Amino acid sequence: MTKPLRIGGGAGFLDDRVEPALDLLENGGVDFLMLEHLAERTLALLQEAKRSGRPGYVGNLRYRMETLLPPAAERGVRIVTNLGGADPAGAAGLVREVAKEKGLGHLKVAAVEGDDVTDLIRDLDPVLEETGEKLSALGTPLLCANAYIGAFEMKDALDAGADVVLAGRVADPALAIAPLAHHFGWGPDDLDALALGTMTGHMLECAGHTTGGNYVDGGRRVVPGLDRLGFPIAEVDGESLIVTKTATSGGLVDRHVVRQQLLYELGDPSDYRTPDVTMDIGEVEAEELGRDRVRLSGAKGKARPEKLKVLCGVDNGWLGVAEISYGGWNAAGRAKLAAETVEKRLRRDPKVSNLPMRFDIIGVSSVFVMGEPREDMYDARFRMCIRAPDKDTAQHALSEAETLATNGPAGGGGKTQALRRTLRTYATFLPRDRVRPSWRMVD
Amino acid sequence: MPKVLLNAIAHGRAGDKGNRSNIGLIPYRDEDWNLIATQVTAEAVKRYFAKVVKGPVVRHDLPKLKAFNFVMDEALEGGVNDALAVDAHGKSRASILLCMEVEVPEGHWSLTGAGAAD
Repeated sequence: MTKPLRIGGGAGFLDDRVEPALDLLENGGVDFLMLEHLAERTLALLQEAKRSGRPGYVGNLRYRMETLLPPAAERGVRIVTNLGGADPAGAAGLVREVAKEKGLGHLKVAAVEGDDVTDLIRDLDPVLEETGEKLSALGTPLLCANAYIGAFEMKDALDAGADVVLAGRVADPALAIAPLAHHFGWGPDDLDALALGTMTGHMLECAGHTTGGNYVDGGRRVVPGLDRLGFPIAEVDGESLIVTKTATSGGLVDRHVVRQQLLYELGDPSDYRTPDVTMDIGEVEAEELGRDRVRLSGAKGKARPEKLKVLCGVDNGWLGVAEISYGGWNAAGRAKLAAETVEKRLRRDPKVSNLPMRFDIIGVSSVFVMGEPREDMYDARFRMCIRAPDKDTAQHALSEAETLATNGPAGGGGKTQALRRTLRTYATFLPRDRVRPSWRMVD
Repeated sequence: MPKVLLNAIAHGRAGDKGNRSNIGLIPYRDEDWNLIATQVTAEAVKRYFAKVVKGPVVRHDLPKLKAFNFVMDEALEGGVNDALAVDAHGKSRASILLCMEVEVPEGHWSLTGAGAAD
């Protein structure tokens, strides 16, 4: 029987902590390190950067590789990541450069390409899932379109001996399926195995989510050593998966934490779709084996979806946010009055009256959606948010909040403003034969 | 029967996909799964979040895992793409659901300091 494979989940989002990945390499006894860095809209921003002549891969790639590559190479740990962003080949070139600088010129670095379907989508003008209408009906130019591709190009690169595989838009769980398929020799029709791989990837893709991050609640849900929170390790034997962590790091892997992550961002648990397989976790069981060791078993695989999901990025104007605080008796009431006053002024202003805008009272009802202001709430913060087609218009609206200090309720202080450009994504679907993923070694 | 906050017998995590929000809800003790199944129905959660959830709420039961997955549509004012809300992802929604009251039998276990009845 093939020996179990150990994969470390070394990152869960773009700017995640680097220390835990280093801990996984030094103390985790892992065979592979999976680094997931690419949220839905991150890639659209990178596509834009690439078109304007800046690097299309994730900005801190050099720093991460300088930190992780030497200890990985020393222990023969191979890295699979979507850090390639909009330019996997460029990213692979940079990783080769770092490798040579560190005296690791023997490392083989592969790039997975073909997820960029921008030109194809522009030509096809497909119907978008959210609107039910064609892309062109948006009246906004398409900035980028990327298809979610599966694990098998990455697997082929690993079969050919790649030490680092850099992809762009691949399904997150595919980053775990690839090393597992490489190790166990799984093929596209091994559906239950691919479901186990998908579950493995799902448990690793959010890194600290599986070791007690986003779980801990002081004094109630206790997680030791949160400041040194480690990241998860999946130990896969081909039948089931054991989630664990290093003994050197903080954190907690118990049945509660693991089940929280298993359900994270899930719709119908029997119908979790990825490019490689449709996973059903309805019969999955979680069993605590010992300290920081939980076994998950029972994931079932069903045929993969016929079409590949594509995310289309378009411009979504400028978002402006302004805030000001109130303290003392009736602070919440004064923040509410501030909101009512600014809204009346903006609704009278023809330049912005029809724009989407929203007013919140932070500390009362901004996230606790059913909250109501009371006079004994002594600390409250007014917040307004507006979306405008251009920066000047957004700034114009924010200036109305700025005037609250001398034209609004008593004692407003701590004004802040922020303006940022935004993108939004729409989903559409392409027949598989229209998307041609590929991989190559880069020197 | 005494009431406690759901927070005293269960925990949860919220996620998002566009304008859809999901909350995984898990009792601390497996034996409370039935109590939650009876009281924290899809209808009850829809009523609880009536102010912000405009679409249907579906509860998926996972009796083997002793967990529930609530899927709420049109729940995030457009979601991370469009919402002007402070928490456009709705990450705070699980903690808010945990402030829902449930009835428990006299003397029933609940987590200390987590919203149990006095």
